[in-house]
Amino acid sequence: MSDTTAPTRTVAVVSAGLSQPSSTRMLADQLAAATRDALTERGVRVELPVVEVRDHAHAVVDHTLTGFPPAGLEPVMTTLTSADGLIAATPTFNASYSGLFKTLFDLLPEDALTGVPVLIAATGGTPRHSLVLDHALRPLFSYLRAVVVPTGVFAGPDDWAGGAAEGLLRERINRAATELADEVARRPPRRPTDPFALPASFEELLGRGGQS
Amino acid sequence: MWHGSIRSPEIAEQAAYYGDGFFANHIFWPPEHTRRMVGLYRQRFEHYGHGAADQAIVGLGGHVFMRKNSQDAIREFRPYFDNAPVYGHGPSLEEYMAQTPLTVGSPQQVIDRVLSFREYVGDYQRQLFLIDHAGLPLKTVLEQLDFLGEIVPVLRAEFARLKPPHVPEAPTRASLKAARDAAATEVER
Repeated sequence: MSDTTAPTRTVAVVSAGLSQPSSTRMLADQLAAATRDALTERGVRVELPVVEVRDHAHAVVDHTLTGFPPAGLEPVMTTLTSADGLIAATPTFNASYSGLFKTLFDLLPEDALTGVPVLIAATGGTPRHSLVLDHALRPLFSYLRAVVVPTGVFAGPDDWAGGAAEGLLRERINRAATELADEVARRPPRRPTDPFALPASFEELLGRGGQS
Repeated sequence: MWHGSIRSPEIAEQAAYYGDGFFANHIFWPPEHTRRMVGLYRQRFEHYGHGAADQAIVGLGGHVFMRKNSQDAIREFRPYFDNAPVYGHGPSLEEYMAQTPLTVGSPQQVIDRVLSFREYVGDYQRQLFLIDHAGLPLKTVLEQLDFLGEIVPVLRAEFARLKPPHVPEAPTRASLKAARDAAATEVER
């Protein structure tokens, strides 16, 4: 039963896995589903647009070189700069996030994630990579002034053993999703920012200049 | 007096406040950006009582490379594009031409493209061209100047034909002086 009067939020899901199927995408999807459940419990409807970084790999690099987003990347940037929350999942490459994952976030305008709740997640080929969350992803999003929820979710090969993410991984997913849902639900919806909106008219700017 | 801006909407606002011309960079970036900047300027020009939005004074940049035949233009410009610090090693020349005002082709193709700019900025008064870009050698740039001499009379005639009567010409020193003298004569009477 869907309640059309319920408040609505958008949580963007970024998945930077490269293979298909991708374990990073699998983890991102499970985090998204758990976040949806947790927000629904709180009476909040949520949209969870997924950004597959691989699909935009060339556009992301073009953007870094030209300084403007190619047409196909524009909606992605809008999704990321207007979402009420973010689930960010990357594979671990050489003990850090993947280069493409970082490049995408390098393109965000200043303050795009300020105050935005973020759930960080990573996959890796060995459990020894699990520190990638707290040594790479958390500092990145702290720098961007995002509100990183306490529980990050790392999934290694052992976590996927036996099929679906049950047991300990399931617990971590649910705990992280609950933390994200709490942060998203207690904030008002984010207003989209218009880069062409003037913070002050020229008359006001002249007035301020005269007073100082 | 013109106020030029690449991406600061405050400059469009400043130009509108004074009723001066607004010059939008209009190179290296998608037309959508220019459309928003000029739209803002026109709206604020009207807000400050200088006239209707479509009477505001607008100038645009643009970057071109021309040869008599479009294939020759593409063939000759591509290595410069592919290796230029501002263009190179990213999108292809074709992608870049589709996404920005860059036009590489025959003089007629440049004329057609330039005349299409008014579809998203409205009728405007000045068009500037960047022709010494991407590391082109001097001789080539001078040849571009010759091509410019070919297309400018056509563009002037076409712009004049397309412009509705209520859209003013850009003020010049001569026109401003004439207006000032006329006002002074009016006062003496």
